[in-house]
Amino acid sequence: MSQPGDPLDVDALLAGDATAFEQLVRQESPRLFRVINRVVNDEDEAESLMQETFLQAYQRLDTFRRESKFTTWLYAIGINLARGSLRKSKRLSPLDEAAVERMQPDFSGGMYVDQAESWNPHRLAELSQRRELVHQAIAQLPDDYRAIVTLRDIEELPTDEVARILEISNGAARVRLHRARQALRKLLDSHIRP
Amino acid sequence: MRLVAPLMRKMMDEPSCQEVNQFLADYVEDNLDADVSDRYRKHVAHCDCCKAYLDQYQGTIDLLHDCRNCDLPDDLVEHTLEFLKERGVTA
Repeated sequence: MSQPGDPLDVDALLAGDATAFEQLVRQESPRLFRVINRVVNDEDEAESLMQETFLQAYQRLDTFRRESKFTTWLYAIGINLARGSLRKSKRLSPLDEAAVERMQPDFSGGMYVDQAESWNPHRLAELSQRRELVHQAIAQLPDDYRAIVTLRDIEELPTDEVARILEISNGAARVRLHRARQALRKLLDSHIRP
Repeated sequence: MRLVAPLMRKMMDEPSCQEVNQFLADYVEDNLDADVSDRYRKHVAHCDCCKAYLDQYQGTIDLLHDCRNCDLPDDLVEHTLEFLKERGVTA
C-alpha cells in the first residue's frame, strides 16, 4: 500500500482509481489547505474550497494534459476557486495595487531616495510575535500577491511551477513576487526596526 | 556627489542601485549570468544602501520561509475523504 509522501501514481489517478485519489488527498491536503487559506483568510471557507478543489479535479481528470505536474494542475484549480470565492463575497484586501506601488522604493539618479537600515538580528530573534506579524502583513496584500508569496516563499515551490499554477509567464511571476516582497519588507520594517 | 555618481557609474560600467534592485529576486536566487551577478556583487559590496536593502529583502524571505507551519483544522483529511466518499470519489 502506498504511503503519504510516495510519488503520485498519475496513471492510476487518471484511471479514476479511488485508492490513488485517497493518497492524493492525504498527501496534498495540508499544503493545499495552507495555500487556499492564505488567499481567502478564512479557515472554514478554505476547508470547503479545498474539498471542492479535489472534487473538481476528480470530475475534470480527462482535461489533465500532462503538460505540468499533476499537483500543479490541482493547485491551479484551488487558486482559481479561492479567487472566485473572494470575487463572489466581494471581500477586498486592505491594500490595493496603488498601495503596493507606493511601497516600492523610490530612486533618484539610479540611487535609493531613502536609505534602508539593516535589521538587527537580535531584535528579530526577540520578536515573539514574528509569525503573527508576517501573517498580518501578508493578509494586507491584494490576493494575487498573497498567492505568489505563499506559493514561492512559504511553500517554496519553484518559480516556474508557481507561474504555471497562477497561469502567468515566468517573467510576470518574478516581477509580481519582487513587488510583493518589497511591499512586505516595507510593512515589516516599522515593526522590526526599533 | 549624488549628481556625479550616476556619471561615474556609467564610466565604470557599474550597475546603479535601481538596476540592482530591479533584478534583486534573480540575484538572491542566483539566477543571473555569472558576469552580471559578479558586477552586482561588487556594487553591493561597497554600497551601504544596497547592502542594507538586500539585508532587509533577504530577511523578509527568511521570515516567510519560517512561516509555513500553521494549525490545520482537526480531521481535515478525514473530513475531506468523507466529503469525497459521499460523492462517489473515494471508497
